[in-house]
Amino acid sequence: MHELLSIIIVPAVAGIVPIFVPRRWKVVAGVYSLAVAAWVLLRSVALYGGGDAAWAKFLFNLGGQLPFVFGLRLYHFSAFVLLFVAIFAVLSILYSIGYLWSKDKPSLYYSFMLWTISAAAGVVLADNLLILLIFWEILTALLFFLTNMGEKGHEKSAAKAFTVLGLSDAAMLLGIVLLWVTKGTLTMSGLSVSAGDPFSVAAFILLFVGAIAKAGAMPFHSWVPEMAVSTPASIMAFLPASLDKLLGIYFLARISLDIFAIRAGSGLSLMMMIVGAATIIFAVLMALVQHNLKKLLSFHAVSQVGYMVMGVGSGIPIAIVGGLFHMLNNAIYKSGLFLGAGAVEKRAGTTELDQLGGFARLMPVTFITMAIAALSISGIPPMNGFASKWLIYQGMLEGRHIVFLVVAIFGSALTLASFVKVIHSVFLGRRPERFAAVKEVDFSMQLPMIFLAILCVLFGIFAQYPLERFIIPSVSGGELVNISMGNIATVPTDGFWSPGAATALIVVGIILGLLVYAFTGRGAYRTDENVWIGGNVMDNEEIRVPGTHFYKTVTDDLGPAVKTLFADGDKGAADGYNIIGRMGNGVVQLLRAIHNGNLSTYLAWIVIGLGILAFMLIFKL
Amino acid sequence: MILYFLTLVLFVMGVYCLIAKKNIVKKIIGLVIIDYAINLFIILIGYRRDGVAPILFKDMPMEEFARHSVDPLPQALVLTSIVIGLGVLALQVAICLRLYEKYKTFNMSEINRLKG
Amino acid sequence: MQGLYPLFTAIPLAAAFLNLLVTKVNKKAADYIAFVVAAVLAVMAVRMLFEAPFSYRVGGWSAPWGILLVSDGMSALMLTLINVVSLLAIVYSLSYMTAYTAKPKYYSLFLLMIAGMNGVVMTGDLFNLFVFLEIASIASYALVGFGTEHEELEASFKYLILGTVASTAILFGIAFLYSMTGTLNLPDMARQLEIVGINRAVAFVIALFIMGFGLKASTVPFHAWLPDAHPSAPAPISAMLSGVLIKALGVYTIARIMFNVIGPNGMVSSLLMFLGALSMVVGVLLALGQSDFKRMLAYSSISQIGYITMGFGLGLNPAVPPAVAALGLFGALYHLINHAAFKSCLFLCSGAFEYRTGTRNRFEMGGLMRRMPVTGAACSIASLSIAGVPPFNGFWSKLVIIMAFMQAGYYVYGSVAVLVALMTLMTFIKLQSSVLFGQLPARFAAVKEAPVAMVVPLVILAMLCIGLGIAYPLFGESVLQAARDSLLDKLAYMGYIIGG
Repeated sequence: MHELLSIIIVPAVAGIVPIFVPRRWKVVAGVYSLAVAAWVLLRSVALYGGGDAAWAKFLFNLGGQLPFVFGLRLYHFSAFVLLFVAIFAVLSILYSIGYLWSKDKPSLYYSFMLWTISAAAGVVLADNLLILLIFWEILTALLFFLTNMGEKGHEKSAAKAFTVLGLSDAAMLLGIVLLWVTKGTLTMSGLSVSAGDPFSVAAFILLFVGAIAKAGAMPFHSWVPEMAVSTPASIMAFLPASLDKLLGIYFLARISLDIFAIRAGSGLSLMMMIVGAATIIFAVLMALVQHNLKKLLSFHAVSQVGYMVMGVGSGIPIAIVGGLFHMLNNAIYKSGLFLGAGAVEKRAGTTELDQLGGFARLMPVTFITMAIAALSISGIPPMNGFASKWLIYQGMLEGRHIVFLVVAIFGSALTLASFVKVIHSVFLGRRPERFAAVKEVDFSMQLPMIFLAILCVLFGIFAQYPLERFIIPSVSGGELVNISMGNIATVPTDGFWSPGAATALIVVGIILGLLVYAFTGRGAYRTDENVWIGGNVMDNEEIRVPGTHFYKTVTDDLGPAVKTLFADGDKGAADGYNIIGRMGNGVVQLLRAIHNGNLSTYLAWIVIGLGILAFMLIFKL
Repeated sequence: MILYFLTLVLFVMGVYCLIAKKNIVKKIIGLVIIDYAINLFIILIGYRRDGVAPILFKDMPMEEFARHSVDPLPQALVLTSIVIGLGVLALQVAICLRLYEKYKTFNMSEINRLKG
Repeated sequence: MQGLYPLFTAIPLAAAFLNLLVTKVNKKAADYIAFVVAAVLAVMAVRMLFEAPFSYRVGGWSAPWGILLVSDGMSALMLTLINVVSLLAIVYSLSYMTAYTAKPKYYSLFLLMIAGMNGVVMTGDLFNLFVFLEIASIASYALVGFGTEHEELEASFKYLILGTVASTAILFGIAFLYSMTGTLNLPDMARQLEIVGINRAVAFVIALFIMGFGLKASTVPFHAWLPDAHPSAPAPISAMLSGVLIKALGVYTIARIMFNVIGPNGMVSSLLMFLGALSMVVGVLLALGQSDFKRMLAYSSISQIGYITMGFGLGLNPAVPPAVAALGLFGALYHLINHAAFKSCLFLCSGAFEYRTGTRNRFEMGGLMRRMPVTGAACSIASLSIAGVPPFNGFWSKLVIIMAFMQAGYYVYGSVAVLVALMTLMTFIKLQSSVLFGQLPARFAAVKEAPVAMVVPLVILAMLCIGLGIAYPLFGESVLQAARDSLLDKLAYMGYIIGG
């Protein structure tokens, strides 16, 4: 079997085994799947080092006319995406073993995980749009089943995810068919379309919808927050947080850079940037006011996609490099955050921010890893999130897109604001009494979190290495980003960021701060006193002030338009899924009313139908 | 031609009866009328003026027979069609009776639990 | 096999009557007879796939005087479909029908229905076709009302009235055609029509046939009986009705007459495409709003038949390049067998759930995947297939149909097909979410997996859903393309009059 094919076939076949493992032995299935995922990782490392490869086999001629070529192609870009797919797979499965330990879940979970790896590898390696679409839809279906393994309310969120992603798949199918009709080929490496005529524009927009819905950008984002609460954190970390982002943005980059070659400043580029900007700002506003940790994280998962879409869509090489680097960074810190949320959930039994607090001492590893990831997502130097956002800012400056620049920076600030809330509500603040006995999670669950946190730091301080190794070779024109001597600079403008030097300065600053703290205000900066209200001493446990309340002003004091938006967040009034659902229901009820069960009505339809048929045939033939 | 026209009138009457009448029994009668109209039509297809029965006797010359006999096939068709119609009618009446047992009515517009 | 060809109707006809006689002696015999007959027929039908086309003269009378039976790619395909699904439905009935009384009568009606359907797809004689169509229809009217409760009787009566109207229209059309061509033999009629040409009288006959056979195939606006009749029948009968009956009596007959007798025609093509698209949209919209499991499936059948009708419409279009028209027809035929696999599977699943939970309202169910894993998995696979999720079979046939329409330049129809595929996906997501996933109601906590005789057909059909999707090379070139070519080659069909 060819090496490219084996990476798809092996996990797919291996995924059959866990079906037959009984529930109570699911750990066995977990370890087995971990081994398979590790094999995939090793293979993808080897492939990454092995240079370009391609494989194609003509399978059959559908209907005698649709040649179905199973074409796979490995080149730099797909190799590095594949590598990270495998890394996240290993981490998620490792985490799942501990996370699912005491839960009543079937071993089938691991089958779906393995099949997901297989399908994701298929998407990455596919060189034929039809093959890509098939794996793409298989991923969607697998997400549906994985989501359905969640807690209460899972069936609704799974249905929503499948519906929204189904819409995107349908759009992609239509786009691909349009391409096939106009160009006569579906081989991606041989396909080059100039987006001029309406057909190409329509095809591009349809494919774009497919890509951003998978990645979770607005307006096709609503499945991500919906599924956040009920879905197991391991799945959230694996699929919506990392894999779907990687694949969605990978596909977006493939179509907008390779196939359609969208130029900077064109209408389609502007459209993509607007979609990106809107996603950044609206999703982060929604995230600000959430009360549930997983839901809040999921809105950030949406918001961050905005940066990538904006970067890749701008058509400016630096911003594209930044966007793709952000795709990688986002996958790293976002899955770290979800894994941390899962750890908290496992120990506390809830992810409602109002009920949590003071976990920093109880779960120090989770705290530190989540704090690092939170700094990264907020774009605080020297973490990796900053490095990629910096490149996107540079790109926006270069293209003179000041509005988008402001939106991007503002979104980053709001992200920080909402993560201050998360860190405060979960890890700092007052600890409810009932969590006194909470312990840190098992090491098997800590390991992925630690690994991801370390990656966050490394990719920030030594940003030139991942850029040099992974991103820049994948982008034509990426060599404009100068990464010599440990700095990241852009050649035409003089934006300059030296992670090494900055980190040194930051470390010095922190040490200075610690020194000041040590020599001046040391000792009790906080004392616990019971509150005294109306002559009664209140129990502090009853009047805990959750961190979420700081953010009430956001919903209460902004204008009515924003207020409506927030009201929608919970009820979903502005959510396209609900609006179309309601409109559709109107049509359905009308049709149902016509079918009134009266035989004479039905007979009348037949006679009228026959009359029209006869008229058409006799007089228009 | 007038015969064809009368058949058509019969047919339309049947259709009217089937659609406009609410009583199940009348609806069935309407169907039967339609059936008869079609059967008559088929017979008319094979009819020829001054035709003889399509039976070839030993002493009759073939050409003579072909010139005078009516088309035998429609008659065979009609026989089959009548038999089928009878079968359908029997089933209709049987179900009609069972319906009356359950719903206590022959009014078809009151028999509409299934809708939407 | 040639000499045995009439046995496809003779065996089930004989068995249907034998069944009732033997039952007087032995109560259990009906089960065995039905099973053995169905198994023999299924084996014979699969063998037919490997036969070269031939025609068979009943009683040795040469055409056009005697009755002609024709076996070509299309007939072989339909025979296989009918008899394989029948076998599975009868296996399923062994357990399922124990809940009903009068099992022998049920089997007799079932066998009559098989005989009728086999006859319809085998015959090369228009009136003979009508007779077999009526045999199958009358058996199906009775089977729909087999439960003899309020709903069953009502559905059966409505189906009976509407079905009879359709049969009458068909008979009328046959008489009309006979008066013009002087023959009932289909190949001969095709030849005569070449001479007569498509005049207004023929056009009227086409309208009658589209209405009559369209009602049997339940295209909108002639569909109103189906959502009542299919859910009311016992589950194996629902599977037969939705899976094969509407195809054998409606879709096949339309295809045979329009392609092989009338020939490609622009107006017929546009009407069929329009009716198909209308059926697709109306059917799926109504399916979305149902709470009854089987009613949802029934409406979805209307929608899926729409795909097939639309594909036939494209195949009949003389204005598009022949290759594209052939692709549309191919997609329709592919979808036809796929629909038989997944819709039968879904109806049988609904029966299994009803058998165990006693309800058909999907909102009363939930979480059954945990209690009935095999049935649940089969239901899930069939749902994904009908929703057009790769790598299952529904995806491929819909893809072919969509590609054909896009290539022909019918962008609106192509987009409608994509949109309906999406809405079908939504329908079956809703179905799965409410039945298979979610919270298990407390009263179903003790629900067990369905009996073996019911599970085996489900598993086989679910396997078929996968197999028809990924094993395309095994059957696509030979079976489907043979069926397509037999429909497209009008000249070869006319040649059957010579007999073999």
